[in-house]
Amino acid sequence: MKRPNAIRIVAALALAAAARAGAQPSTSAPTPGTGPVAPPVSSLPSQVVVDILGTKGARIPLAIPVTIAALTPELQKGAVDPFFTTLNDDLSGSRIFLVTDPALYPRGLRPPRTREEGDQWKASSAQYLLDTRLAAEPAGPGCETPPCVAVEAQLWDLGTLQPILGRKYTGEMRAARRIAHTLANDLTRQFTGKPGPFLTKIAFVSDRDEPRVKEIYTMDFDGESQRRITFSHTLSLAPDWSPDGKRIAYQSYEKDSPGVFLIGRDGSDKKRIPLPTQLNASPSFSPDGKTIAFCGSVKGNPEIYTVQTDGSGLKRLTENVAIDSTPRWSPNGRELAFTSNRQGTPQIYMMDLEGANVRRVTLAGNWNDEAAFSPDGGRIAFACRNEGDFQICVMDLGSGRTLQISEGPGAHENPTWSPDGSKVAWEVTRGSSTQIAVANSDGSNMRIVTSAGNNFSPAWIKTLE
Amino acid sequence: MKKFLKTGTLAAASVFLVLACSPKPKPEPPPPPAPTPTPTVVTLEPTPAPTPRPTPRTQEEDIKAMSLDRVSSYLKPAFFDLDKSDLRADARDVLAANATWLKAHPSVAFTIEGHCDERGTAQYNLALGDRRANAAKEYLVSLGIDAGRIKTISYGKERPFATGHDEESWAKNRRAHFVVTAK
Repeated sequence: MKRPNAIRIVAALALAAAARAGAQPSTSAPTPGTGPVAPPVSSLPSQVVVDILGTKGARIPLAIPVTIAALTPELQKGAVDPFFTTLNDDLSGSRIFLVTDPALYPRGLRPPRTREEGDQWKASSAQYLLDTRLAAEPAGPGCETPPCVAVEAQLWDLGTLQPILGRKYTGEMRAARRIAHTLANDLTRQFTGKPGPFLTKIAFVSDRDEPRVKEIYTMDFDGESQRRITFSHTLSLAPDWSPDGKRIAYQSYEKDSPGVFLIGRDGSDKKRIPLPTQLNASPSFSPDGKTIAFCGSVKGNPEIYTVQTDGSGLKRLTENVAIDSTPRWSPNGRELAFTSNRQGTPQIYMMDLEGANVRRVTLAGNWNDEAAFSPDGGRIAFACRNEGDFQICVMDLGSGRTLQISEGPGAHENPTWSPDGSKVAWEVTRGSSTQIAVANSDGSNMRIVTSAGNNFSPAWIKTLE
Repeated sequence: MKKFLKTGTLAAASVFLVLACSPKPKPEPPPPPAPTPTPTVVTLEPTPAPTPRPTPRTQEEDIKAMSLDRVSSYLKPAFFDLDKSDLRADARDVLAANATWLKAHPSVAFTIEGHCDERGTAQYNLALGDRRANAAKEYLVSLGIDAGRIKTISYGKERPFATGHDEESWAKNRRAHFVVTAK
C-alpha cells in the first residue's frame, strides 16, 4: 500500500522560537532529517537547519515495478510475493526514497533502451528505476537447502539511461524477505553511504504466553520472525541490547526477587548479575558493553546505579530522596539521561558517570520520561505529556527544540531508535491493547508491527548487521 | 412486686421469689396467710455462661488452619494519591490496624507489594511502587513491627487489581498490598 507522498517542511526559525518560549510540543511539521545531526554544542545560533543526508530535503523518486518471475504458484506465493512486498514496504516507508505511483508505469520497457522509453518511466515522476527479476535456482553455494531462488536487481538512472547498481542475490526461497531487506540496504548505501535499518532486530516484551507473565521476544524490525527468548514464567521486562548485538539485558522477577539478567540473543546462557540492591529495574548497557546502569533501591529510595556485567564495581550515582529512575546511557559513553521527580514532576535529567553535573533537560510539560538517545547522540526521543496521554517527542539536544512525532489516540511510550537513526519504535496503548509501532524518525509512515497478546517496551538492536 | 406461690404444683421447676415492696401503711391487719405448703426446692443446673460475642480477630491457633490467602485478607491495603508515596491519614489508620493484628500474630511473615495505576510509565511506576511498599513498611516498623517479618516488592503497573480506565479503578490500583508468606 503506498501512502500519499507528502513532503513536510520544517520552519526551523519559527519552531525554535516557539520552543524557547516554552510552548507545547508542536503537533505539526515534524522534523525531517535522518542523517547525522551536528553534535550538541553548548551555544548554538538561534536557527537550526536540518539536512536530510546531504540531499537537502528532497526524496529520491524511484519506480519499482513488480518483480518479473515465472508464473508458477509456488514461485509467486513462496518467493515473489514476500520478496516484492517486503522490498516495496522497506523503500516506500523510507524517507530517503519516494516510490512513485505504479498506475503511471509503462508496460514492459524493462529496461528502457531509448530516451523515449526512459521518458515513459519518468512520466511517473521517477528519476530511477529498480528492475528486479526472480528465478528458481538449483542448490549450490549461497543456498544449501532447496528450494532456492536468485534475484537479479538493476537500478537505472532514467536521466542517463545508465545502470548504476547491479546485484544478484542467491538464497533459500524462505529467505526471500531477507533478500529484499538486503537489496533495500544496498540501495540505501548507494545514495547515503551507509546501509539502512532493514536487516535489524527489535527486542520487546509480550504477555501472549501465560496470564500474568511477560517474556522477552525478538523480531525483525517490520514484525516478521517473532521469537520467544525467555521462559521465565514470571515478569521479564525492559530489554536492552548489548552494543555488539550478542546479548540482551533485562529485568526479571524470578524467585519473586527482581534482578538484572543477561541472556544470549538466541535465549542461551542466561546469567543473573549479583546485586545487593532491590528493585533492579531498567538496565542500560554502556556503549563499550562493560557496564550496566540500572535503577536500584535500598530502603525504598530508587536511585541510579552502575555495575560491571559480572556484578563487581557497584556504584551509586544519584543521591536524592526523590525518585530517580530509567537510566539511559549516552552514545558518547560519558553521560546518562535519567528520569527524576526531584523538582516536583517526573522530568528528564543528565549527569556524568560520577553522578555530577546534573542538569535538567526537559522544561515543558508535566511528565517527561524514558529518554532514548539517537545513535549519534544529538537527539533524544522520549515520552512527553502535559495533559491527556503520553506522546513521543524528539528533542535536539543542542538547541532544545522539541517536536512531537507521534499522533493519534492512545498512550505512546518507550521510544527506541534504529541504529542508523532513521526510524523510531515505541509502544502505543489504546483501550486495553498495547502494541509496538515503527515509524520514521519524523513520525511518518507509522505501522503497528505486533498483534498477538500485548506487546511492550521495544528495544532496537544497536548494530546495523 | 409480689410473685404468688403456686400451690399443689408438680411442675416445680420454677424459682419463685417473694420480693418485698416498700412498706405502705395498711389500715387493716393482713388476712391470715393461707397454709403454706412446703416449698419444693429444686437445685438448678448452673446457668451456662453467656456465649462471648465473636471477636473481630482470630486466635493464633485458627490462622494455622487457614490458607495463606485467607490469612492475607486480614491485612488491608493502604492507598495513595497519584504519583505520591507519602501516607495519607486513612492509609496510616489502615496500617495501624494491620500493626495491631500483626502484634497479635507474631508468627506471621509477609510481603508488602507496591502498585501503581496505569497512567504513569512502566519503568517510573516500578520505582514509585517500590517507594510505596517501603513507606508502608517503615510505618509498620515505627509502630513496633519487626522489620525482619517484612519483605517489599514493587509491581509498578504490571499487576493491576482493577482493570477499568477511570479514576475508580486507578484509585484501587495505587496501593501497598499485603501478602502473608508464613504463618
